[in-house]
Amino acid sequence: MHDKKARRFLSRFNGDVFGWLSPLSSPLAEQHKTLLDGMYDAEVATQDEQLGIFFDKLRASGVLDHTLVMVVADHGEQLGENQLLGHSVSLYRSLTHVPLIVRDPAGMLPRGGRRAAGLHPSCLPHRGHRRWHCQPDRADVCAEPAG
Amino acid sequence: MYALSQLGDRDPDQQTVFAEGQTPQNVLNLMLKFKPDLVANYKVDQHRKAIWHEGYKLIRTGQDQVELFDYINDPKETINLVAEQPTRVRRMLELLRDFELDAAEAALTAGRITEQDDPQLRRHLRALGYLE
Repeated sequence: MHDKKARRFLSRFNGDVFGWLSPLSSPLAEQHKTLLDGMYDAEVATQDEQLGIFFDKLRASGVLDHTLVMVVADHGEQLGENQLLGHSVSLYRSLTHVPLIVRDPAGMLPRGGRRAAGLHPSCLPHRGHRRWHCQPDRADVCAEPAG
Repeated sequence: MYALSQLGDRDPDQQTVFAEGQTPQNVLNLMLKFKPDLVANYKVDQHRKAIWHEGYKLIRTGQDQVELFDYINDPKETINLVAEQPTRVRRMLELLRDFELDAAEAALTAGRITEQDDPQLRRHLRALGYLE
């Protein structure tokens, strides 16, 4: 990033933890909104690329077609919409509209609508005799224990 | 690939979805200390609940602030339709109250099961402050 003003804004923004949480007292300037949107999009693109690498490895090792894959998110992020930042203080679309992508090669899960809150119980009955470990404070994390 | 909007009557919830949100206490404490005026303006200390039903989304903040959006034609939620659609608002508030009653009953049932069936889980819940 070559723009000094943009760098300074981002540096100050990243250093102000309270600023990530609190509502704004005035609307976000357009150039700052564009900057935050761009950084967020870049993060999403990076995650997308990393997931691609991960799935390519699963495919190459032959396990992808024996793997139930769920891509979920616990919330979105407010970047100035409704003069809000972060992911507290509202139930607007910027926080509640999240992806749910399921790749279910064995056809284990029932077809139909799913809610985020139903994901954990949905995957549990289909685990066969194996025990799954779900972190109690993060219902979106569901993984088979090592060994 | 399916999207909720394509499911029609195969959706187990008949396309009615609920959500609730509460500002974490540590975040609220910080805001009360540094920006108490914003806490009041944005009702940061109020519990929020939302319902999506028949193409509309209603958000109730605290007990008295209600917003209604047409999420198909106004996905960015810019136009509050509360004044234009009082009948729909009443119906959706009723559904929200039904959901609250069901959730309260489910929580009581879950509490009974927890207390009877799993002493280890009960210890964990107590340590986390969920049980007295």
